Amino acid sequence: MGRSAVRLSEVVYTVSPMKTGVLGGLFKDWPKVMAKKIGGWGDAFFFGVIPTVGVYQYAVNYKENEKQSHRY
Amino acid sequence: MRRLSLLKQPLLSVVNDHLIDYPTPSNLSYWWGFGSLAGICLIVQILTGIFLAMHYTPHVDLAFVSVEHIMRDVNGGWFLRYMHANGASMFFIVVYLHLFRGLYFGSYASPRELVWIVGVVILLLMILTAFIGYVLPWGQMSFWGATVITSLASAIPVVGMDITYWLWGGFSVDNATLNRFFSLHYLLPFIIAGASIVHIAALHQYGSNNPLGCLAVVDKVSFYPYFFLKDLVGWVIFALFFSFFIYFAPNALGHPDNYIPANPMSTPAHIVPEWYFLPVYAILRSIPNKLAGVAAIGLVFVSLLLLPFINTSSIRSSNFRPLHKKLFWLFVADCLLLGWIGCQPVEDPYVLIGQLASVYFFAYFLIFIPFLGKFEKALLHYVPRD
Repeated sequence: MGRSAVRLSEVVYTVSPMKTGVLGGLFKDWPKVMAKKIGGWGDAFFFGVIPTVGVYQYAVNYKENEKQSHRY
Repeated sequence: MRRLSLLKQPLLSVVNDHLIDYPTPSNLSYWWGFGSLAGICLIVQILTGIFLAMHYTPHVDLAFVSVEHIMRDVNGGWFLRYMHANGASMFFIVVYLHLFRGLYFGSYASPRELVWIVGVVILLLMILTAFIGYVLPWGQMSFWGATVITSLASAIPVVGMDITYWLWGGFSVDNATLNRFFSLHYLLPFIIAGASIVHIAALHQYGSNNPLGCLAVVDKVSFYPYFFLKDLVGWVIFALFFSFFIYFAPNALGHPDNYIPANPMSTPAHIVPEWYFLPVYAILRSIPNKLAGVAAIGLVFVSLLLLPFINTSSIRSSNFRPLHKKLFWLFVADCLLLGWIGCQPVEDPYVLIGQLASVYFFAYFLIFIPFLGKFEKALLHYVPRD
């Protein structure tokens, strides 16, 4: 089974999408894509991180106030 | 062609169908790598466990010193033991992330109910294996942890104490308890391995879920090489994370009291389980009644098992469920807080925080999951008046 030779001039060098423009569309909506990616983690921050840190800080303050009120 | 003919052999074709040519949705993210990672953790635990068992002695007078013998005299023994002890923690980290991924992307929803149920059974078996494994070094926390947890059975009316004596093999946690725990600790990982094969078989019946939650029948690629390489990235990062604990902080996840030989005459000031049991332990302690506390632990796993059947949402992925996404992250925060409360003393304000967190834990499964799906459907069909 023979193989047909590929002429070097037909080979498109696609290491960098910036240079070839092959994946130009990938960066077209970059701000929108990034906003969507970060937006997905917004809920994780507001509903995951803030309640955890907030409740922890409340307990730390509570213990500190309790300690101060029994000091003298 | 020789490779293909070899893979058509009866046994290898099964391996080929499920691990090489398995049709995988092309849009899987790195969150889907924790399943294979859990398999690696199980293999690591079994291999290190087999070698540790060659040097360990399951006797109340020798267990503690045999562990010290492994640490000091056996070539590479410290490495095996730290790998096994920290490997249990790593296994739970991986499995919890795997479980939360399933919750977020609705991987439990029809038609994958069986995959979820077998997964919960594997989690239960893991918890049992890890608990009895922690007893084996026969330190203070091993002994008192075993005493506290096995005594939970005594809360069962009428037959509770008989069950407890049966678990102990006597009238207290003693040599018979240690022996049976060692035997079961050797057996259970192989049952987990069998259950994992059932888990994979059930998954491959309908195929993997994906981040969009939609059917991905038309857009699949073979597992090898595409997702093998993607999983490999996760394995390498995990190996670095695991190595950090083995080499730099081998006792960070353990309790220092377990370096004191077990003493039935001296109770530690605070008895705390390993970190991966702390959320459930916090739920147990947030209920003042012993039997109700034990029932609440049971309800945690019943809730997980019922999840595919009480879910009413037609949408799987939380990417398209803005309300569920918020409740999910609150649930993650809730579990973290329960884990933290589990290792705090029973006093204000921890008691109230633990109780409120326990209420949200069950509300998420038994109220929000069933009713949110119906509410979402109502919102979808809502037509505003002009």
